[in-house]
Amino acid sequence: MSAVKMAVQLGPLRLQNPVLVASGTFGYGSEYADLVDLNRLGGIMVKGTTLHPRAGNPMPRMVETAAGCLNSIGLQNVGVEAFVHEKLPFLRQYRCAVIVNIAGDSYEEFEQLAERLDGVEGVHALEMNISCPNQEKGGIHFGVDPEATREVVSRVRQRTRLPLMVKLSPNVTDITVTARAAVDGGADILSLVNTFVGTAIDAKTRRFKLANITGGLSGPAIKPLALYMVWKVAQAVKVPIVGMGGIMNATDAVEFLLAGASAVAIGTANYVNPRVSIEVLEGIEQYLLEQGEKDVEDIVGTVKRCKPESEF
Amino acid sequence: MRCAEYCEVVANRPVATNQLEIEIHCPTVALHAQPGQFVQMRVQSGYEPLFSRPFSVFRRFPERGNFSVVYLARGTFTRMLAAKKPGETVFVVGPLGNRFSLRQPANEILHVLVAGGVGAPPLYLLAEEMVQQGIPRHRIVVVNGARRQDLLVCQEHFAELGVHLWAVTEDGSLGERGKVTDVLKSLHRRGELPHDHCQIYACGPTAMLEAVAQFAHKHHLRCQVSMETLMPCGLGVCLGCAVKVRTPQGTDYKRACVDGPIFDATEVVWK
Repeated sequence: MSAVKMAVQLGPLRLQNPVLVASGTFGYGSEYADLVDLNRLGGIMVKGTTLHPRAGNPMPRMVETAAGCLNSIGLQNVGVEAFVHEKLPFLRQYRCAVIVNIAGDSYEEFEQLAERLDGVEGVHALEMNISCPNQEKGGIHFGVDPEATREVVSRVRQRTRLPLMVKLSPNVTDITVTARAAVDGGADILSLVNTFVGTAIDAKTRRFKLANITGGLSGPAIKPLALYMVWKVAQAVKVPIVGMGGIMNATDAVEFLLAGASAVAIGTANYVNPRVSIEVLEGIEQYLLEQGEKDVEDIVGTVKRCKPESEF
Repeated sequence: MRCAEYCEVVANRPVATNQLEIEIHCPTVALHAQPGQFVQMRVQSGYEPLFSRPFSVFRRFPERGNFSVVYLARGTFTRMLAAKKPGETVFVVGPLGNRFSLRQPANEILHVLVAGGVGAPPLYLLAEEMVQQGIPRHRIVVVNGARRQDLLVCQEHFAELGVHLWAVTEDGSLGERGKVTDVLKSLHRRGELPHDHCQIYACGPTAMLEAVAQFAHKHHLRCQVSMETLMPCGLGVCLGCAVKVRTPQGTDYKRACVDGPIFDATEVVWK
Protein backbone atom coordinates (compact mmCIF):
# COMPACT_ATOMS: atom_id res chain seq x y z
CA MET A 1 0.00 0.00 0.00
CA SER A 2 1.44 3.30 -1.08
CA ALA A 3 1.87 6.05 1.49
CA VAL A 4 0.54 8.54 -1.05
CA LYS A 5 -2.67 8.46 -3.01
CA MET A 6 -1.85 7.67 -6.60
CA ALA A 7 -5.28 7.11 -8.14
CA VAL A 8 -6.38 9.79 -10.58
CA GLN A 9 -9.72 10.68 -12.06
CA LEU A 10 -9.68 11.66 -15.73
CA GLY A 11 -13.22 12.83 -16.28
CA PRO A 12 -15.21 9.58 -16.38
CA LEU A 13 -12.08 7.42 -16.42
CA ARG A 14 -10.58 6.27 -13.14
CA LEU A 15 -6.95 5.13 -13.15
CA GLN A 16 -5.24 3.41 -10.24
CA ASN A 17 -2.23 5.63 -10.89
CA PRO A 18 -1.24 8.26 -13.43
CA VAL A 19 1.30 6.22 -15.40
CA LEU A 20 0.19 4.97 -18.79
CA VAL A 21 2.13 3.48 -21.66
CA ALA A 22 1.63 5.25 -24.96
CA SER A 23 0.03 3.75 -28.00
CA GLY A 24 2.41 2.12 -30.42
CA THR A 25 5.15 1.69 -27.87
CA PHE A 26 3.76 -1.19 -25.83
CA GLY A 27 2.04 -3.36 -28.41
CA TYR A 28 -0.89 -5.19 -26.86
CA GLY A 29 0.76 -5.63 -23.47
CA SER A 30 1.65 -9.27 -23.94
CA GLU A 31 5.00 -8.32 -25.46
CA TYR A 32 6.11 -6.86 -22.12
CA ALA A 33 4.21 -9.07 -19.70
CA ASP A 34 7.18 -11.12 -18.55
CA LEU A 35 9.27 -8.01 -17.91
CA VAL A 36 6.67 -5.58 -16.53
CA ASP A 37 3.93 -6.25 -13.97
CA LEU A 38 1.01 -4.95 -16.03
CA ASN A 39 -1.18 -4.88 -12.91
CA ARG A 40 0.88 -1.98 -11.63
CA LEU A 41 0.32 0.29 -14.61
CA GLY A 42 -2.35 2.94 -14.61
CA GLY A 43 -3.27 1.88 -18.10
CA ILE A 44 -2.18 0.59 -21.46
CA MET A 45 -2.93 2.58 -24.58
CA VAL A 46 -2.85 -0.19 -27.12
CA LYS A 47 -1.40 -0.09 -30.59
CA GLY A 48 -3.28 2.15 -33.03
CA THR A 49 -6.20 0.10 -34.29
CA THR A 50 -7.90 0.48 -37.63
CA LEU A 51 -11.08 -1.00 -39.07
CA HIS A 52 -9.11 -3.44 -41.21
CA PRO A 53 -5.62 -4.90 -40.73
CA ARG A 54 -2.78 -2.82 -42.14
CA ALA A 55 0.64 -3.90 -43.36
CA GLY A 56 2.27 -0.54 -42.72
CA ASN A 57 4.78 1.50 -44.68
CA PRO A 58 7.84 0.27 -46.63
CA MET A 59 11.24 -0.12 -44.98
CA PRO A 60 13.24 1.62 -43.69
CA ARG A 61 10.58 2.99 -41.43
CA MET A 62 12.50 3.98 -38.33
CA VAL A 63 15.68 5.98 -37.87
CA GLU A 64 17.48 7.14 -34.79
CA THR A 65 18.11 10.88 -34.52
CA ALA A 66 19.76 13.14 -31.96
CA ALA A 67 18.11 12.14 -28.66
CA GLY A 68 15.11 10.78 -30.47
CA CYS A 69 13.79 8.75 -33.35
CA LEU A 70 11.72 9.22 -36.45
CA ASN A 71 9.19 6.59 -37.33
CA SER A 72 6.96 6.04 -40.30
CA ILE A 73 5.44 2.71 -39.32
CA GLY A 74 2.16 3.51 -41.00
CA LEU A 75 -0.19 2.05 -38.40
CA GLN A 76 0.71 -1.59 -39.01
CA ASN A 77 -1.87 -3.42 -36.91
CA VAL A 78 -4.13 -6.45 -36.80
CA GLY A 79 -7.43 -4.58 -37.25
CA VAL A 80 -10.25 -4.13 -34.77
CA GLU A 81 -11.80 -7.60 -35.07
CA ALA A 82 -8.50 -9.39 -34.41
CA PHE A 83 -7.86 -6.97 -31.58
CA VAL A 84 -11.15 -7.82 -29.89
CA HIS A 85 -10.88 -11.57 -30.43
CA GLU A 86 -7.13 -12.22 -30.18
CA LYS A 87 -5.56 -9.42 -28.12
CA LEU A 88 -8.20 -8.22 -25.69
CA PRO A 89 -8.71 -11.54 -23.83
CA PHE A 90 -5.12 -11.35 -22.66
CA LEU A 91 -5.50 -7.76 -21.46
CA ARG A 92 -8.69 -8.58 -19.53
CA GLN A 93 -6.61 -10.56 -17.06
CA TYR A 94 -5.09 -7.37 -15.69
CA ARG A 95 -6.52 -4.64 -13.55
CA CYS A 96 -4.94 -1.73 -15.41
CA ALA A 97 -7.15 0.30 -17.73
CA VAL A 98 -7.18 -0.58 -21.42
CA ILE A 99 -7.46 2.42 -23.68
CA VAL A 100 -7.87 1.56 -27.34
CA ASN A 101 -6.24 3.96 -29.76
CA ILE A 102 -8.45 4.11 -32.86
CA ALA A 103 -7.47 5.53 -36.23
CA GLY A 104 -9.66 6.01 -39.27
CA ASP A 105 -9.24 7.31 -42.78
CA SER A 106 -12.70 8.85 -42.79
CA TYR A 107 -15.43 10.03 -40.48
CA GLU A 108 -17.28 6.81 -41.16
CA GLU A 109 -14.32 4.64 -40.19
CA PHE A 110 -13.95 6.45 -36.88
CA GLU A 111 -17.66 6.01 -36.26
CA GLN A 112 -17.57 2.31 -37.05
CA LEU A 113 -14.55 1.76 -34.80
CA ALA A 114 -16.23 3.56 -31.91
CA GLU A 115 -19.42 1.62 -32.39
CA ARG A 116 -17.60 -1.71 -32.60
CA LEU A 117 -15.74 -1.13 -29.34
CA ASP A 118 -18.59 0.39 -27.40
CA GLY A 119 -19.62 -1.92 -24.57
CA VAL A 120 -16.89 -4.47 -25.26
CA GLU A 121 -15.77 -5.97 -21.98
CA GLY A 122 -12.24 -4.96 -21.06
CA VAL A 123 -12.19 -1.73 -23.06
CA HIS A 124 -12.14 1.17 -20.61
CA ALA A 125 -11.74 4.13 -22.93
CA LEU A 126 -11.01 5.17 -26.50
CA GLU A 127 -8.18 7.38 -27.62
CA MET A 128 -8.89 8.94 -30.98
CA ASN A 129 -5.79 9.12 -33.08
CA ILE A 130 -6.52 12.14 -35.23
CA SER A 131 -2.87 13.07 -35.37
CA CYS A 132 -0.86 10.25 -36.91
CA PRO A 133 1.63 11.91 -39.25
CA ASN A 134 2.27 8.76 -41.28
CA GLN A 135 -1.04 8.32 -43.02
CA GLU A 136 -1.76 9.66 -46.49
CA LYS A 137 -5.49 9.81 -45.89
CA GLY A 138 -7.28 10.83 -42.73
CA GLY A 139 -4.80 10.69 -39.86
CA ILE A 140 -3.27 14.07 -39.38
CA HIS A 141 -5.87 15.85 -41.49
CA PHE A 142 -8.39 15.53 -38.70
CA GLY A 143 -5.88 16.75 -36.16
CA VAL A 144 -4.70 19.95 -37.86
CA ASP A 145 -8.05 21.32 -39.02
CA PRO A 146 -10.10 22.51 -36.03
CA GLU A 147 -13.41 22.12 -37.85
CA ALA A 148 -12.54 18.55 -38.87
CA THR A 149 -11.42 17.85 -35.31
CA ARG A 150 -14.72 19.05 -33.88
CA GLU A 151 -16.70 17.12 -36.49
CA VAL A 152 -14.93 13.78 -36.11
CA VAL A 153 -14.95 13.92 -32.31
CA SER A 154 -18.62 14.88 -32.31
CA ARG A 155 -19.53 11.97 -34.58
CA VAL A 156 -17.60 9.48 -32.45
CA ARG A 157 -19.10 10.94 -29.28
CA GLN A 158 -22.51 9.98 -30.57
CA ARG A 159 -21.47 6.39 -31.18
CA THR A 160 -19.92 5.48 -27.84
CA ARG A 161 -20.54 5.74 -24.13
CA LEU A 162 -16.89 5.03 -23.39
CA PRO A 163 -14.69 7.76 -21.97
CA LEU A 164 -13.36 9.57 -25.02
CA MET A 165 -9.80 10.77 -25.20
CA VAL A 166 -8.54 12.72 -28.20
CA LYS A 167 -4.84 12.67 -29.08
CA LEU A 168 -3.71 16.01 -30.38
CA SER A 169 -1.18 16.75 -33.07
CA PRO A 170 1.66 19.14 -32.25
CA ASN A 171 1.99 19.96 -35.96
CA VAL A 172 -0.18 23.06 -35.73
CA THR A 173 0.41 26.74 -35.18
CA ASP A 174 -1.61 26.89 -31.99
CA ILE A 175 -2.49 23.62 -30.30
CA THR A 176 -5.03 25.28 -28.04
CA VAL A 177 -7.26 25.81 -31.07
CA THR A 178 -7.54 22.10 -31.86
CA ALA A 179 -7.72 21.34 -28.15
CA ARG A 180 -10.82 23.54 -27.82
CA ALA A 181 -12.27 22.04 -30.96
CA ALA A 182 -11.87 18.52 -29.56
CA VAL A 183 -13.50 19.54 -26.29
CA ASP A 184 -16.33 21.24 -28.17
CA GLY A 185 -16.81 18.00 -30.07
CA GLY A 186 -17.24 16.07 -26.84
CA ALA A 187 -13.79 14.91 -25.75
CA ASP A 188 -13.66 13.89 -22.09
CA ILE A 189 -9.87 13.86 -21.99
CA LEU A 190 -7.08 15.17 -24.18
CA SER A 191 -3.79 13.37 -24.73
CA LEU A 192 -0.83 15.28 -26.11
CA VAL A 193 1.38 15.32 -27.90
CA ASN A 194 1.67 12.96 -30.81
CA THR A 195 4.91 12.97 -32.78
CA PHE A 196 6.35 15.95 -34.64
CA VAL A 197 6.73 15.62 -38.40
CA GLY A 198 10.37 15.48 -39.39
CA THR A 199 12.81 13.92 -41.78
CA ALA A 200 16.38 12.67 -41.90
CA ILE A 201 18.90 12.69 -44.73
CA ASP A 202 22.04 10.62 -45.26
CA ALA A 203 24.60 13.12 -46.52
CA LYS A 204 26.89 10.41 -47.88
CA THR A 205 24.29 8.77 -50.08
CA ARG A 206 22.24 11.97 -50.55
CA ARG A 207 19.12 9.97 -49.81
CA PHE A 208 16.30 10.34 -47.34
CA LYS A 209 16.73 7.83 -44.55
CA LEU A 210 13.05 6.88 -44.41
CA ALA A 211 11.32 5.19 -47.31
CA ASN A 212 8.34 7.41 -46.59
CA ILE A 213 10.62 10.52 -46.52
CA THR A 214 8.89 11.93 -43.44
CA GLY A 215 8.22 10.41 -40.08
CA GLY A 216 7.11 11.29 -36.59
CA LEU A 217 9.79 12.50 -34.17
CA SER A 218 9.62 11.22 -30.60
CA GLY A 219 11.95 10.76 -27.66
CA PRO A 220 13.70 13.15 -25.28
CA ALA A 221 14.40 15.58 -28.13
CA ILE A 222 10.74 16.67 -28.12
CA LYS A 223 10.20 16.94 -24.38
CA PRO A 224 10.47 20.73 -24.01
CA LEU A 225 8.08 21.21 -26.91
CA ALA A 226 5.58 18.71 -25.55
CA LEU A 227 5.83 20.13 -22.05
CA TYR A 228 5.09 23.61 -23.35
CA MET A 229 2.06 22.38 -25.27
CA VAL A 230 0.67 20.54 -22.27
CA TRP A 231 1.04 23.69 -20.19
CA LYS A 232 -0.62 25.81 -22.88
CA VAL A 233 -3.55 23.44 -23.31
CA ALA A 234 -4.00 23.10 -19.56
CA GLN A 235 -4.61 26.87 -19.45
CA ALA A 236 -7.05 26.71 -22.33
CA VAL A 237 -9.42 23.84 -21.50
CA LYS A 238 -11.08 22.33 -18.45
CA VAL A 239 -10.83 18.65 -19.36
CA PRO A 240 -8.03 16.50 -17.93
CA ILE A 241 -4.87 15.98 -19.93
CA VAL A 242 -2.61 12.99 -20.45
CA GLY A 243 0.84 14.40 -21.12
CA MET A 244 3.43 12.67 -23.24
CA GLY A 245 6.44 13.40 -25.36
CA GLY A 246 9.95 12.37 -24.46
CA ILE A 247 9.31 11.21 -20.90
CA MET A 248 12.34 9.11 -20.02
CA ASN A 249 12.21 9.05 -16.21
CA ALA A 250 10.17 10.04 -13.17
CA THR A 251 11.47 13.60 -13.13
CA ASP A 252 10.27 14.13 -16.68
CA ALA A 253 6.89 12.70 -15.71
CA VAL A 254 6.60 14.97 -12.69
CA GLU A 255 7.34 17.97 -14.89
CA PHE A 256 4.34 17.08 -17.06
CA LEU A 257 2.12 16.76 -13.99
CA LEU A 258 3.31 20.13 -12.73
CA ALA A 259 2.60 21.61 -16.16
CA GLY A 260 -1.01 20.52 -15.91
CA ALA A 261 -1.25 16.90 -17.01
CA SER A 262 -3.32 14.67 -14.75
CA ALA A 263 -1.57 11.57 -16.05
CA VAL A 264 1.41 10.79 -18.23
CA ALA A 265 2.17 8.28 -20.94
CA ILE A 266 5.54 6.72 -21.53
CA GLY A 267 6.39 6.18 -25.18
CA THR A 268 9.79 5.85 -26.79
CA ALA A 269 11.42 5.18 -23.42
CA ASN A 270 9.77 1.75 -23.40
CA TYR A 271 12.10 0.78 -26.23
CA VAL A 272 15.14 1.92 -24.31
CA ASN A 273 14.23 0.29 -21.02
CA PRO A 274 11.26 -2.11 -20.94
CA ARG A 275 10.81 -1.51 -17.21
CA VAL A 276 10.81 2.28 -17.38
CA SER A 277 7.07 2.65 -16.75
CA ILE A 278 7.36 0.98 -13.36
CA GLU A 279 10.47 3.01 -12.55
CA VAL A 280 8.54 6.18 -13.41
CA LEU A 281 5.63 5.12 -11.19
CA GLU A 282 7.93 4.43 -8.26
CA GLY A 283 9.83 7.64 -8.93
CA ILE A 284 6.67 9.75 -8.83
CA GLU A 285 5.69 8.18 -5.51
CA GLN A 286 9.16 8.90 -4.18
CA TYR A 287 8.95 12.50 -5.37
CA LEU A 288 5.61 13.00 -3.65
CA LEU A 289 7.00 11.61 -0.40
CA GLU A 290 10.02 13.88 -0.60
CA GLN A 291 7.79 16.88 -1.31
CA GLY A 292 5.47 16.03 1.57
CA GLU A 293 2.50 15.51 -0.76
CA LYS A 294 -0.23 12.99 0.04
CA ASP A 295 -2.07 12.89 -3.27
CA VAL A 296 -0.66 12.97 -6.76
CA GLU A 297 -3.63 15.00 -7.94
CA ASP A 298 -2.53 17.81 -5.63
CA ILE A 299 0.51 18.61 -7.73
CA VAL A 300 -1.25 18.76 -11.09
CA GLY A 301 -0.72 22.15 -12.70
CA THR A 302 1.15 23.61 -9.74
CA VAL A 303 4.17 24.89 -11.64
CA LYS A 304 5.15 28.40 -10.61
CA ARG A 305 7.00 31.14 -12.40
CA CYS A 306 10.75 31.16 -11.83
CA LYS A 307 12.31 33.48 -9.32
CA PRO A 308 14.06 36.60 -10.58
CA GLU A 309 17.68 35.85 -11.43
CA SER A 310 19.00 38.04 -8.61
CA GLU A 311 17.58 35.69 -6.03
CA PHE A 312 19.70 32.72 -7.21
CA MET B 1 12.72 -16.86 -19.77
CA ARG B 2 14.31 -13.49 -20.36
CA CYS B 3 15.57 -10.57 -18.33
CA ALA B 4 16.01 -6.81 -18.46
CA GLU B 5 18.69 -5.85 -15.99
CA TYR B 6 22.06 -4.27 -15.36
CA CYS B 7 24.79 -6.88 -15.70
CA GLU B 8 28.44 -6.86 -14.81
CA VAL B 9 31.11 -6.94 -17.50
CA VAL B 10 33.49 -9.82 -16.80
CA ALA B 11 35.92 -9.33 -19.68
CA ASN B 12 36.20 -7.28 -22.85
CA ARG B 13 39.03 -8.63 -24.99
CA PRO B 14 40.19 -8.05 -28.58
CA VAL B 15 39.67 -11.01 -30.92
CA ALA B 16 40.50 -9.47 -34.32
CA THR B 17 41.17 -6.06 -35.81
CA ASN B 18 38.73 -3.66 -34.14
CA GLN B 19 36.76 -6.65 -32.90
CA LEU B 20 36.21 -7.53 -29.29
CA GLU B 21 34.48 -10.25 -27.32
CA ILE B 22 32.66 -8.94 -24.27
CA GLU B 23 31.78 -11.44 -21.57
CA ILE B 24 28.89 -10.49 -19.33
CA HIS B 25 27.54 -11.99 -16.14
CA CYS B 26 23.87 -12.65 -16.82
CA PRO B 27 22.61 -16.06 -15.67
CA THR B 28 19.31 -15.77 -17.55
CA VAL B 29 20.97 -15.32 -20.92
CA ALA B 30 23.71 -17.80 -20.05
CA LEU B 31 21.14 -20.47 -19.29
CA HIS B 32 18.51 -19.81 -21.92
CA ALA B 33 20.07 -18.29 -25.05
CA GLN B 34 19.74 -20.46 -28.13
CA PRO B 35 21.78 -20.33 -31.36
CA GLY B 36 20.65 -17.34 -33.41
CA GLN B 37 19.08 -15.48 -30.51
CA PHE B 38 20.30 -12.05 -29.49
CA VAL B 39 20.40 -9.59 -26.62
CA GLN B 40 19.71 -5.86 -26.62
CA MET B 41 22.46 -3.95 -24.89
CA ARG B 42 22.61 -0.40 -23.63
CA VAL B 43 25.89 1.06 -22.46
CA GLN B 44 25.15 4.78 -22.40
CA SER B 45 23.58 6.78 -19.62
CA GLY B 46 22.52 9.72 -21.78
CA TYR B 47 20.44 9.89 -24.91
CA GLU B 48 23.13 9.82 -27.56
CA PRO B 49 22.77 7.28 -29.01
CA LEU B 50 19.28 6.66 -27.70
CA PHE B 51 18.49 3.04 -28.42
CA SER B 52 20.00 -0.22 -27.33
CA ARG B 53 21.72 -2.34 -29.97
CA PRO B 54 21.16 -6.01 -30.80
CA PHE B 55 24.04 -8.48 -30.56
CA SER B 56 23.91 -12.20 -31.31
CA VAL B 57 24.97 -14.46 -28.52
CA PHE B 58 28.37 -15.99 -29.25
CA ARG B 59 29.23 -18.21 -26.29
CA ARG B 60 27.44 -19.35 -23.17
CA PHE B 61 29.06 -20.31 -19.90
CA PRO B 62 26.07 -21.53 -17.87
CA GLU B 63 28.23 -22.86 -15.06
CA ARG B 64 29.45 -19.36 -14.21
CA GLY B 65 26.37 -17.51 -15.45
CA ASN B 66 28.13 -15.67 -18.25
CA PHE B 67 27.61 -15.16 -21.95
CA SER B 68 29.56 -13.30 -24.58
CA VAL B 69 29.07 -11.47 -27.83
CA VAL B 70 31.58 -10.42 -30.49
CA TYR B 71 31.31 -6.95 -31.97
CA LEU B 72 33.10 -4.65 -34.36
CA ALA B 73 34.09 -1.37 -32.70
CA ARG B 74 33.37 1.06 -35.51
CA GLY B 75 30.51 3.37 -34.46
CA THR B 76 29.61 5.55 -31.52
CA PHE B 77 27.82 2.79 -29.67
CA THR B 78 30.32 0.02 -30.20
CA ARG B 79 33.23 2.28 -29.27
CA MET B 80 31.44 2.99 -25.99
CA LEU B 81 31.00 -0.74 -25.56
CA ALA B 82 34.71 -1.26 -26.26
CA ALA B 83 35.52 1.17 -23.45
CA LYS B 84 33.64 -0.91 -20.87
CA LYS B 85 35.93 -2.44 -18.29
CA PRO B 86 35.49 -5.51 -16.08
CA GLY B 87 33.35 -4.58 -13.09
CA GLU B 88 31.37 -1.96 -14.96
CA THR B 89 27.80 -2.69 -16.03
CA VAL B 90 25.74 -2.79 -19.19
CA PHE B 91 21.94 -3.02 -19.45
CA VAL B 92 20.91 -6.31 -21.02
CA VAL B 93 17.53 -7.42 -22.32
CA GLY B 94 17.37 -10.98 -23.51
CA PRO B 95 17.56 -13.56 -24.81
CA LEU B 96 15.38 -12.36 -27.68
CA GLY B 97 14.15 -13.59 -31.03
CA ASN B 98 13.85 -17.06 -32.47
CA ARG B 99 16.65 -19.54 -33.10
CA PHE B 100 18.14 -21.44 -35.99
CA SER B 101 15.98 -24.49 -36.43
CA LEU B 102 18.00 -27.70 -36.49
CA ARG B 103 16.79 -29.69 -39.45
CA GLN B 104 15.97 -33.32 -38.66
CA PRO B 105 17.12 -36.06 -38.73
CA ALA B 106 20.09 -34.00 -37.65
CA ASN B 107 22.61 -36.83 -37.78
CA GLU B 108 21.85 -37.55 -41.42
CA ILE B 109 21.83 -33.99 -42.73
CA LEU B 110 24.79 -32.03 -44.03
CA HIS B 111 24.71 -28.79 -42.06
CA VAL B 112 26.35 -25.90 -43.92
CA LEU B 113 26.99 -22.85 -41.77
CA VAL B 114 27.81 -19.76 -43.85
CA ALA B 115 29.25 -16.81 -41.93
CA GLY B 116 30.21 -13.33 -43.05
CA GLY B 117 32.34 -11.13 -40.78
CA VAL B 118 30.66 -10.56 -37.42
CA GLY B 119 27.88 -12.88 -38.58
CA ALA B 120 30.02 -15.77 -37.39
CA PRO B 121 29.30 -15.71 -33.61
CA PRO B 122 25.74 -17.09 -33.63
CA LEU B 123 26.82 -19.77 -36.06
CA TYR B 124 29.59 -20.76 -33.69
CA LEU B 125 26.98 -21.29 -30.97
CA LEU B 126 24.99 -23.39 -33.44
CA ALA B 127 28.03 -25.47 -34.41
CA GLU B 128 28.89 -25.98 -30.76
CA GLU B 129 25.35 -27.17 -30.06
CA MET B 130 25.53 -29.56 -33.00
CA VAL B 131 28.77 -31.06 -31.72
CA GLN B 132 27.33 -31.36 -28.21
CA GLN B 133 24.30 -33.14 -29.64
CA GLY B 134 26.58 -35.69 -31.24
CA ILE B 135 26.11 -34.71 -34.86
CA PRO B 136 29.14 -36.16 -36.69
CA ARG B 137 31.71 -33.43 -37.25
CA HIS B 138 32.10 -34.32 -40.91
CA ARG B 139 28.45 -33.39 -41.35
CA ILE B 140 29.09 -29.85 -40.09
CA VAL B 141 30.60 -27.60 -42.75
CA VAL B 142 31.49 -24.02 -41.85
CA VAL B 143 32.22 -21.48 -44.59
CA ASN B 144 33.65 -18.50 -42.75
CA GLY B 145 34.20 -15.39 -44.84
CA ALA B 146 35.44 -11.84 -44.50
CA ARG B 147 37.04 -9.15 -46.62
CA ARG B 148 40.49 -9.73 -45.10
CA GLN B 149 42.16 -12.21 -42.82
CA ASP B 150 42.23 -9.77 -39.91
CA LEU B 151 38.46 -9.35 -40.15
CA LEU B 152 37.74 -13.05 -39.94
CA VAL B 153 35.89 -13.86 -36.72
CA CYS B 154 35.73 -17.05 -34.64
CA GLN B 155 38.05 -18.97 -37.00
CA GLU B 156 40.03 -20.55 -34.19
CA HIS B 157 36.87 -21.37 -32.25
CA PHE B 158 35.37 -23.20 -35.21
CA ALA B 159 38.70 -24.97 -35.68
CA GLU B 160 38.69 -26.14 -32.07
CA LEU B 161 35.31 -27.78 -32.64
CA GLY B 162 36.90 -29.97 -35.30
CA VAL B 163 34.23 -29.26 -37.89
CA HIS B 164 34.87 -29.12 -41.62
CA LEU B 165 36.07 -25.54 -41.90
CA TRP B 166 36.60 -23.26 -44.89
CA ALA B 167 38.06 -19.79 -44.60
CA VAL B 168 37.41 -17.42 -47.46
CA THR B 169 38.68 -13.86 -47.84
CA GLU B 170 38.01 -11.40 -50.63
CA ASP B 171 41.69 -10.45 -50.86
CA GLY B 172 42.95 -14.01 -50.52
CA SER B 173 44.89 -13.22 -47.35
CA LEU B 174 43.62 -16.44 -45.76
CA GLY B 175 41.99 -19.52 -47.21
CA GLU B 176 40.13 -19.31 -50.49
CA ARG B 177 40.11 -16.03 -52.40
CA GLY B 178 36.62 -14.79 -53.13
CA LYS B 179 33.26 -14.84 -51.42
CA VAL B 180 31.39 -17.40 -49.40
CA THR B 181 29.18 -18.15 -52.38
CA ASP B 182 32.28 -19.13 -54.39
CA VAL B 183 32.97 -21.86 -51.85
CA LEU B 184 29.34 -22.95 -51.96
CA LYS B 185 29.49 -23.13 -55.76
CA SER B 186 32.67 -25.16 -55.56
CA LEU B 187 31.12 -27.59 -53.07
CA HIS B 188 28.05 -27.89 -55.24
CA ARG B 189 30.08 -28.58 -58.37
CA ARG B 190 31.78 -31.43 -56.55
CA GLY B 191 28.42 -32.87 -55.57
CA GLU B 192 28.98 -32.20 -51.88
CA LEU B 193 25.71 -30.36 -51.28
CA PRO B 194 22.97 -32.98 -51.76
CA HIS B 195 19.78 -30.91 -52.08
CA ASP B 196 17.60 -33.40 -50.23
CA HIS B 197 20.02 -33.86 -47.33
CA CYS B 198 21.45 -30.41 -46.83
CA GLN B 199 20.58 -27.36 -44.73
CA ILE B 200 22.27 -23.99 -45.03
CA TYR B 201 22.35 -21.60 -42.07
CA ALA B 202 23.61 -18.10 -42.93
CA CYS B 203 24.46 -14.99 -40.94
CA GLY B 204 26.24 -11.92 -42.22
CA PRO B 205 25.70 -8.74 -44.24
CA THR B 206 22.38 -8.52 -46.08
CA ALA B 207 24.05 -8.60 -49.51
CA MET B 208 25.78 -11.84 -48.55
CA LEU B 209 22.55 -13.32 -47.24
CA GLU B 210 20.78 -12.45 -50.45
CA ALA B 211 23.55 -14.07 -52.52
CA VAL B 212 23.44 -17.20 -50.38
CA ALA B 213 19.65 -17.28 -50.61
CA GLN B 214 19.81 -17.00 -54.40
CA PHE B 215 22.35 -19.81 -54.55
CA ALA B 216 20.19 -21.98 -52.33
CA HIS B 217 17.08 -21.25 -54.36
CA LYS B 218 18.84 -22.02 -57.64
CA HIS B 219 20.02 -25.38 -56.39
CA HIS B 220 16.92 -26.27 -54.35
CA LEU B 221 18.77 -26.19 -51.06
CA ARG B 222 17.06 -25.37 -47.80
CA CYS B 223 18.40 -22.19 -46.25
CA GLN B 224 17.79 -20.20 -43.08
CA VAL B 225 19.09 -16.64 -42.82
CA SER B 226 19.62 -14.35 -39.84
CA MET B 227 18.33 -10.91 -40.81
CA GLU B 228 20.15 -7.84 -39.54
CA THR B 229 18.10 -4.67 -39.07
CA LEU B 230 17.87 -1.78 -36.64
CA MET B 231 15.87 -3.09 -33.70
CA PRO B 232 14.84 -0.19 -31.48
CA CYS B 233 12.83 -2.25 -28.99
CA GLY B 234 13.72 -5.90 -29.67
CA LEU B 235 10.35 -6.94 -28.22
CA GLY B 236 8.09 -6.83 -31.27
CA VAL B 237 6.47 -3.55 -30.37
CA CYS B 238 7.98 -0.68 -32.33
CA LEU B 239 7.65 -2.43 -35.71
CA GLY B 240 10.78 -0.64 -36.89
CA CYS B 241 12.63 -3.84 -37.77
CA ALA B 242 10.10 -5.13 -40.26
CA VAL B 243 11.22 -7.61 -42.90
CA LYS B 244 9.19 -7.94 -46.09
CA VAL B 245 8.03 -11.50 -46.59
CA ARG B 246 6.01 -13.49 -49.10
CA THR B 247 2.57 -14.70 -48.14
CA PRO B 248 -0.07 -16.68 -50.05
CA GLN B 249 -1.89 -13.36 -50.55
CA GLY B 250 1.18 -11.42 -51.74
CA THR B 251 3.58 -9.76 -49.31
CA ASP B 252 3.49 -8.71 -45.70
CA TYR B 253 5.86 -7.48 -43.01
CA LYS B 254 7.23 -9.57 -40.20
CA ARG B 255 9.22 -8.35 -37.24
CA ALA B 256 12.89 -9.32 -37.30
CA CYS B 257 13.07 -9.16 -33.50
CA VAL B 258 10.33 -11.64 -32.62
CA ASP B 259 9.29 -13.38 -35.84
CA GLY B 260 13.03 -13.57 -36.62
CA PRO B 261 15.87 -12.83 -36.73
CA ILE B 262 15.99 -16.27 -38.36
CA PHE B 263 13.84 -16.60 -41.47
CA ASP B 264 13.51 -19.23 -44.13
CA ALA B 265 15.36 -17.70 -47.08
CA THR B 266 12.50 -18.40 -49.48
CA GLU B 267 10.19 -16.34 -47.31
CA VAL B 268 12.18 -13.10 -47.53
CA VAL B 269 11.51 -10.52 -50.24
CA TRP B 270 15.03 -9.29 -50.92
CA LYS B 271 14.38 -6.39 -53.31
